Amino acid sequence: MFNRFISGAGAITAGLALSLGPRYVFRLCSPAPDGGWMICHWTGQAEIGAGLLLALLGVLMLMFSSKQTRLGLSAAAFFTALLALLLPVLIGGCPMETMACRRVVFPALTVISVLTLTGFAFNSFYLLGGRGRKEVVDG
Amino acid sequence: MADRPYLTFSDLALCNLKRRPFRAAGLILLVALMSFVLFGGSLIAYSLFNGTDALGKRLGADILIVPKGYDQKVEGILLRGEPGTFYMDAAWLDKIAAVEGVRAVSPQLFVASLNASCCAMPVQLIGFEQKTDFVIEPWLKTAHPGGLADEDIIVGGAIAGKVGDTIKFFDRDYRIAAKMERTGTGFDASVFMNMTAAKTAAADYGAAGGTPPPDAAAISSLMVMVDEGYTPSGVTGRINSEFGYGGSGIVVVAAKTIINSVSGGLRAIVAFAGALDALLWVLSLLVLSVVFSVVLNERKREFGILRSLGATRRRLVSIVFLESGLVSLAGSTAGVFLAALLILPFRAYIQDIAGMPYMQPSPGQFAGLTAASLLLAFAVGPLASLFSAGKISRGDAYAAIREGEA
Repeated sequence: MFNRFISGAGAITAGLALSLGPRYVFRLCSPAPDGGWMICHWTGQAEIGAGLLLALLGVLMLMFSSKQTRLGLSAAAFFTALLALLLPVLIGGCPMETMACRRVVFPALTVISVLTLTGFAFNSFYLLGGRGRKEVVDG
Repeated sequence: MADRPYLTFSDLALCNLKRRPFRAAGLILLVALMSFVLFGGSLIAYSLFNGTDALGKRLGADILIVPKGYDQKVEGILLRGEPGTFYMDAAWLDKIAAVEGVRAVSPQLFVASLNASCCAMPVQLIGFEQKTDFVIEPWLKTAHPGGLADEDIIVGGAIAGKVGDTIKFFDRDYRIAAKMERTGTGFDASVFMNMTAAKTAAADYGAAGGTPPPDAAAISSLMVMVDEGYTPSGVTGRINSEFGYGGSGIVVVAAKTIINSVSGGLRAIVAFAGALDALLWVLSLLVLSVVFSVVLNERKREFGILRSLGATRRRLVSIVFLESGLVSLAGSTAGVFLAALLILPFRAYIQDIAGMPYMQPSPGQFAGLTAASLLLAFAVGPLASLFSAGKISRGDAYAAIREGEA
């Protein structure tokens, strides 16, 4: 129960931070002088998708008690966090390191993503180990 | 562990930690906090020292001459890359060159771009005279051998773009001829061009609503190299006495003054960080010693039983060291990992709030720093359990089992 709550709440928190953070907390770069969006805007849009997916996985983790199901959800959360980590590299950001997106937003996304994927890597191994022990006992 | 039909001593140490998860987590947290501060503080201090070192190497000139009131502005450009535009009369070039003790003088022109298409925020354009320059050319030589054409620029390490790409400033296209290595100074956010291109950019800046240059020959600063046998302070005094202190409309800044102002502040920060590191290390050592000592008292019977079952004193000591080692290993690794995760990506932000040159260590230096921090943080656990381990090795099994009985 404790693991279920921690992993579910963790995924929901990280997912919301990834999707809402760039828009409301860390603030991406303002539009270009000609009114067009900067590249980092599209990275922020993609992060909304990855973040909401992660939050949804967290809700599912709270709902299911089966270890095998939670192991699958945990692995999915790991890969979603990996995707969130890679999005700023795959889509890109603004050209100068001193601009808001590369100075604050992308580093913050890196920290949240790395913490999330590290947490779910450990959780997956924990659930995998627990299942292995149970099988030995049952067998 | 569960697949084996017997327990090893390392299993026993692990089981002991698992049996009291909150106590183990608290101890790990304490070591993690200590290693976080130790490694994080060292990493930031090292990066600031690296940046100051790079500034000293890149500044090149002994003396800078700027228009009166712009000495702080030029410091902002060099240290933090804060863009600025200002002008002074080009006639100062010959006047300063004629001063005794001046070996070489070269003009520079600083123009802040408006929201450039590349960057959507102003960057510093720095024009330099290729024929007389002795400041920028030496470190440009490796990046771009040969002269710069009027449409060629060299961009700092913090500006994105590859060699051959085109960047627009004031609706003019410039070709990236070379890219500088990162220096951690204001030069990283600067764009270098020849003097003809910079004068065009200054005219464009005026046409776009900025302060226009007073005349076509206007410059922003003079870089001065002092002749052998003369000191920068001596030549500074000579320039001041010859042209009048401040009344002349120029300010003479010794390069060393800029570097000293940075390194002076840095020394205070490093001393504070060092004191905090030492305090936390000692505090962690004391807290862990007390905790291990209390835990040992609780477990006297357990150790007595292990002794009566045939465990040697050495084995018991190794269990204590193993437990404290595991706590230290988990805590120090977590602390170093978290510090690296929080500090490395926020490089530009830290440089911004520090307002100083900031250059993170090379991979080799980083590995050395990590190893040293891990070692120092890891040592806390085993050192803290030395007293407890010594007490166990001296104890008597029978007395330990009977202790506490009525």
